[in-house]
Amino acid sequence: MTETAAVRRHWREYLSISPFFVLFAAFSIVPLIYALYLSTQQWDGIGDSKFVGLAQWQRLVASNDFWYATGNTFLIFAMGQIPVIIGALIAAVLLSQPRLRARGLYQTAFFLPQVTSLVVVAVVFQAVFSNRFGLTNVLLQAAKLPTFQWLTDPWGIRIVIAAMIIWRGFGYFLLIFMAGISAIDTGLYEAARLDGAGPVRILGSITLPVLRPTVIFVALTGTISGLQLFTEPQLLFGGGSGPDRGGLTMMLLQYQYLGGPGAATAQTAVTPDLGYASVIGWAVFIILLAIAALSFRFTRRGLED
Amino acid sequence: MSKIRTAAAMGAAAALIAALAGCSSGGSDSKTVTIWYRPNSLPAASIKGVQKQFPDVTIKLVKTPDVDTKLTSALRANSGVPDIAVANTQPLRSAQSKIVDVSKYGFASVKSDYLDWKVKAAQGDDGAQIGIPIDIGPEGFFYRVDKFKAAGLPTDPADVGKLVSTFDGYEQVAQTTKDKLGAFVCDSPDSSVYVPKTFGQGYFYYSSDGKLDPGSAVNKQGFIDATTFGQKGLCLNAQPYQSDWSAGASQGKLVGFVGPAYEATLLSSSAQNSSGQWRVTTAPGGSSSQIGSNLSVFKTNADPKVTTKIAIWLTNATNQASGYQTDRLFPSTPASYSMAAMKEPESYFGGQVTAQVFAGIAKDAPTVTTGPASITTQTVFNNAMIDAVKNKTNPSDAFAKALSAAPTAQ
Repeated sequence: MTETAAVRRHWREYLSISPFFVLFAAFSIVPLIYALYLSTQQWDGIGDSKFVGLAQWQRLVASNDFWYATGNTFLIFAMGQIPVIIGALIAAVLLSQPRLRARGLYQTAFFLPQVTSLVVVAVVFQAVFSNRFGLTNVLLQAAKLPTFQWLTDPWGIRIVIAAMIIWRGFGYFLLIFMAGISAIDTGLYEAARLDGAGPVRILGSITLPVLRPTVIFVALTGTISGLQLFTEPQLLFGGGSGPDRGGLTMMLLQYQYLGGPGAATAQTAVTPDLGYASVIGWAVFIILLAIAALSFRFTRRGLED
Repeated sequence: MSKIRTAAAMGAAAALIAALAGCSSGGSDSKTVTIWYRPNSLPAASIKGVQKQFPDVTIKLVKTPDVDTKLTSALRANSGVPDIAVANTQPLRSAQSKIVDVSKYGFASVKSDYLDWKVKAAQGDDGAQIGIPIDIGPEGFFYRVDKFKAAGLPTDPADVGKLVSTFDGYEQVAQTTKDKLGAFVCDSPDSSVYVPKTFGQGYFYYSSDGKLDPGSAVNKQGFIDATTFGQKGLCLNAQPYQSDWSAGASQGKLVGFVGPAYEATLLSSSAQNSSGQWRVTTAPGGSSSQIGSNLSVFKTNADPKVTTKIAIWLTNATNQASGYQTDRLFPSTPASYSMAAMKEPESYFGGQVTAQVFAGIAKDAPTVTTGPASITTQTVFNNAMIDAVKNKTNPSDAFAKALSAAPTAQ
């Protein structure tokens, strides 16, 4: 039987698995190839495009805006994503204590921000941290403490974005860690306690080592999503980057070069260039790939011991 | 069994095809005219009456909040482009080949109905008319009578207008309200000082011969003066449409500002508690106006004559006059200014007929030369100004830095 005949004979099977492949081709493969083509062009998006070869890559390396955005992304990542993962791990251990009551209540309360619309979150954070009349500054004033320009100081902006990441991501990581902890055999704990181990020793010698695959999973997915930070600053500054570009991230920069926000009240300070935007996309891809490769090696070594 | 499997496979395939088909969109024929508009960007009378006026065609009005983005996407994909859209005209210039030059299809004969500078601002390369004027944003000085009285300042619009007619006078008023009331008559230096200083000279980052010119003396002076003004602590430092702006207006911290006519909507919705206390008068530095939107007609329709005719009707003087009270769209058609709809006193402004104040400003406003990079350049300088005011950077240094980040050649 030839191969075509085999395909023909099993057409139903091929057809039934085709949706994934068709969608994958339509929304991933084709755009990817197109992005490769676009990276050799200079195009404002509506007029005629112009072939420029590798000039967009030269522009990426030479211009400071992408490197600034990259540095800023890592900075916000360090301020938001790393604390939230560590915090969620500690909270998960505490909430997994067998004697704890109303566990469901805590889980629900912590998970709630995750299902809240980010748009709403951004509007609330904007109001809470607004410079003159925001809740935080009003409270600081009432307590006779100096107020802080949360949304106009670049560090204030980073803190607010990091706070949004922490507030929103906490419940998600908590849930994953708690699921990991609940899978640990309770017999191990009993044996440890019989041997006279205290809570700290149990955490260090049982919980954390057994939880290692979960921690690695969370670290990897958390890193990839954290470095693609976009929605929070985009909503906070209506597509702009905020004063002193304190809220500029790699993905936000790409969005700005893609043509920006479009709302009459917020404009970007860059001239749209789809070629440059797709080069930024490729650069982000390369950075994430490098990080994933590093952590893959790290993971394998971790699981082999 | 096999039949069920076949049916299931067929069903899945059909669903898939349907899902993918959703990605494309149909074209339009000459009997259907699709109009995209931002909410409140067309007068209610135009929207209501257009179908009745043109019974031979089917008119589809699509309210599109982010019309500029959608339009760019449609033009990029070359599919789903509407026949008429209300949009920022200048950024569309690189797609000029897809836009109808309406002067060839009947606009030339009605051109004189619209403000001359506004008509010019809607032109593309080689003088092609790629936009039909709709609203403009004449700049006025909004202020609160009760607060001005408390600060010992005059309250009559004519007197206040005279007082703030120069930027020195404006600065004195700003100092007075700040000292006596702890309140501001400037929202942010870019909108209250920089805009009147530059637009008042007909400058929007292009020289009068149409060349991008961010380094011009007008820009430098305007930027430095506005930044200095802001660094003296005379502004609330809040941008219109931000929550700090609205909070400042409602809590009596913002008691005056320079802004275009359409910001009256923002004001009355932010500060309902001070209704009746606000007035409008002429802004510092003479008359100036923000450009506002235009209607563009696209080459999607087989009959551009009809679509142009519809676009002209939508923006005629009668329709535009009706748009002032309801949607705060200030007409670009001078004939509207003497119509009854624009002579009604407004209770929010203590019975003042604001339309007449703005009408005078609109007629005197200079021609503003604009181009594709105007808005982007403005954003660069506005951001630089906000940063410079906050960081107390030397204004000349801040200008030089912004200039190096500004778009070049377009």
